[in-house]
Amino acid sequence: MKKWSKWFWVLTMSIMAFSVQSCEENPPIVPPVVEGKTSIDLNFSALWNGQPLTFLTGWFEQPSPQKEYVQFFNFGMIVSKLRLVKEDGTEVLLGDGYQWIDFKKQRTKFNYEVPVGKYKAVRFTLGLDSAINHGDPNQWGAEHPLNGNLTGMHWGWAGGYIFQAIDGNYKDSLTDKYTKGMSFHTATDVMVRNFEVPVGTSMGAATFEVKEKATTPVQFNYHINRYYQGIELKKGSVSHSEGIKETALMQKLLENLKVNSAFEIPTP
Amino acid sequence: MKQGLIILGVLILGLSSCRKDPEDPLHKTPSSYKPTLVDPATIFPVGKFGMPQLPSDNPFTEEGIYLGRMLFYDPILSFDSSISCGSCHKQEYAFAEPKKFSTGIFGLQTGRNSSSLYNLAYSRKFFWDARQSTLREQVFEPIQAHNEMAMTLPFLAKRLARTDRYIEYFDKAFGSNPNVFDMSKALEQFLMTLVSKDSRFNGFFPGKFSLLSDTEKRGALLFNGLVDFDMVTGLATGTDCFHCHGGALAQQNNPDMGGIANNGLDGNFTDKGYGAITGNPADRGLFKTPSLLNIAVTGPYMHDGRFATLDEVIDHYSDNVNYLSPTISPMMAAHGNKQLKLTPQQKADLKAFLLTMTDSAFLTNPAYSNPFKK
Ligand code: HEC
Ligand code: HEC
Repeated sequence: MKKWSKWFWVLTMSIMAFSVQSCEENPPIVPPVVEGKTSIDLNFSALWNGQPLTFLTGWFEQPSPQKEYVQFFNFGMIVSKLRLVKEDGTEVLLGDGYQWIDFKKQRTKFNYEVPVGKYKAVRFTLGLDSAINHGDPNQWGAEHPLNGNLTGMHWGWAGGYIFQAIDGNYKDSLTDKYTKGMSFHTATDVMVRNFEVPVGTSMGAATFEVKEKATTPVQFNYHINRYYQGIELKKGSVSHSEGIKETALMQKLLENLKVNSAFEIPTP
Repeated sequence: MKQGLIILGVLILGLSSCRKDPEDPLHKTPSSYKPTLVDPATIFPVGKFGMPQLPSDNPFTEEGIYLGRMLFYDPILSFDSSISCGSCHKQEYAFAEPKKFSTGIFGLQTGRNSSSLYNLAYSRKFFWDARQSTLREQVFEPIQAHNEMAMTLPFLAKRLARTDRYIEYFDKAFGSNPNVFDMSKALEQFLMTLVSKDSRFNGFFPGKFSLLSDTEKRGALLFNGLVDFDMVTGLATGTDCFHCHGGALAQQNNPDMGGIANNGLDGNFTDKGYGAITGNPADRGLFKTPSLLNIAVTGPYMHDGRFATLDEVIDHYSDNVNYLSPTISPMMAAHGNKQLKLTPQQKADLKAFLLTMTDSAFLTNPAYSNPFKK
């Protein structure tokens, strides 16, 4: 009796196992053994005096030339020719080089496959080549960073993209009840700027190494307070890159990015 | 012997659980299920609007779209079979309704103005307060709202399952028996096919200025010009509508770039709009920015239908923007908080331009009409 039942249970269980398995209409997809991509996670952060930028909460103090207080509503940018520079000076294009970074939406982290090696800098263009800038914004796929409807970073009629959009409010003093609008939209061919951001801090240059079959995090800091350095918002808090006054203001803001080293890739 | 019986029982149980198809209440044998796929490139004017982001699990089929269209116009979706989606969304008004508020079941009123419906595939937020992110979820709201259709989903599922045309079409479109999940997908398909692309505006946008009359041209320049004032005359040279209503869709779809905004209607908010959804005081009084295509026929205007005519809307933007509104869009407040003070001629120009946005082919397209009316 005992033996018989034992034998029967084994048989039953195996039939059960078999029949359960045969229930699956689609055999489960067995994931391939993950080899591990050789890649980087490029992570952009917007900082104000080293603190993470927040949106629609709090006021950031702008010290010079006279105290003003800034609050952010949105902050996005369109870059092209985004690439890494190897220690030997050769360049590696990241994806197709285009990216839409949106700090408010936290669309800030991008994974790119890159060759192993040591890298010393990131290069990119804030903005687009003229042909692309004035090309058809509908030629891009639904998810592509240059799809105007996806990003809203396209000026339909006026033609062309907004390369960087920063909107928000400012006040002269924290006790002001009355807030004033701030809107800086970088656009048009003359505002295109190229940047090279060396790896390392002000303490010295460095490199980061991408190892085989691993994802190397690469941190990219945007010190947005440096963009505002020396800007008096009460004298001009709007520039859409058109007209004499607004063009001059935008040029000054973009110059600030370079002169004040607003971009930084601290060593990992 | 007893053991043998148990084993037999277990075996039968195990086996029968495999016979899933015929027993499944939703999905039956896919015998008659051969839907005709519709290529999205034939629905969306890619050259004008680009390709929208589409749900990957709900491909367009002729049967699915037709099923959605029947559902849209079918009053059996409401508790007392008196109200359909089409009652409050009328094609000749670009699927809005020319009333401040709409009347739902039992004569109850909606709390907001009925939205126009077109080019929804390009939108990422739905309702005036942007509370829904997909059309599929959106459709359940009016069906269950006590003042719209006041229906419960289990009851609706039963009602659909008793109706021959739905037994036929759920099978054809999804290989399923009538059920509310596939219902929402069929409605999603139909709603996405509502494409308005043939207005005069979409014929000359962005470059063919020569096709405009003089007054329309001046209106276009105002609409698409940044706010500035002429040094000599002091007149506004731009009204900056395009930041929020720009592009071929006449609508900004990125919520942070003007897609959800406070356009300076109120200082105190009786309807908190988006702020009631997010709970963030900085979002009080923000509403989804509507497309201006077909704007001539979608009045009354704004979330509460407060303006009866386009003239009143233009008066608002020209003379009555509430710059003290605590959450006013920076894109409006950035211009020195000065009223535009448009001249009567400028107002007329702006209106003439807005009138080029009416797409009469859309308003009469038989593919969108009530299929029950022959
Ligand atoms: C009683 C009138 C009424 C009925 C019936 C009704 N709606 Fe609406 N619909 C409205 C109103 C009013 C709004 C705006 C509500 C809001 O924003 O809070 C709206 C908004 C919408 C929107 C959002 C559009 C946008 O651009 O954000 C969609 C989509 C929609 N309705 C589809 C439907 C569908 C599908 C049905 C049928 C299942 C339906 N409606 C039934 C009155 C109605
Ligand atoms: C900051 C963004 C913004 C700007 C700039 C803007 N609008 Fe609007 N517009 C909105 C929002 C948001 C609404 C809906 C507001 C509501 O219902 O509470 C709206 C509503 C409208 C409506 C009513 C739409 C409907 O279906 O009810 C019209 C018409 C309109 N705007 C025209 C214009 C014109 C003309 C200009 C330029 C003078 C302009 N808008 C500038 C954001 C904007």
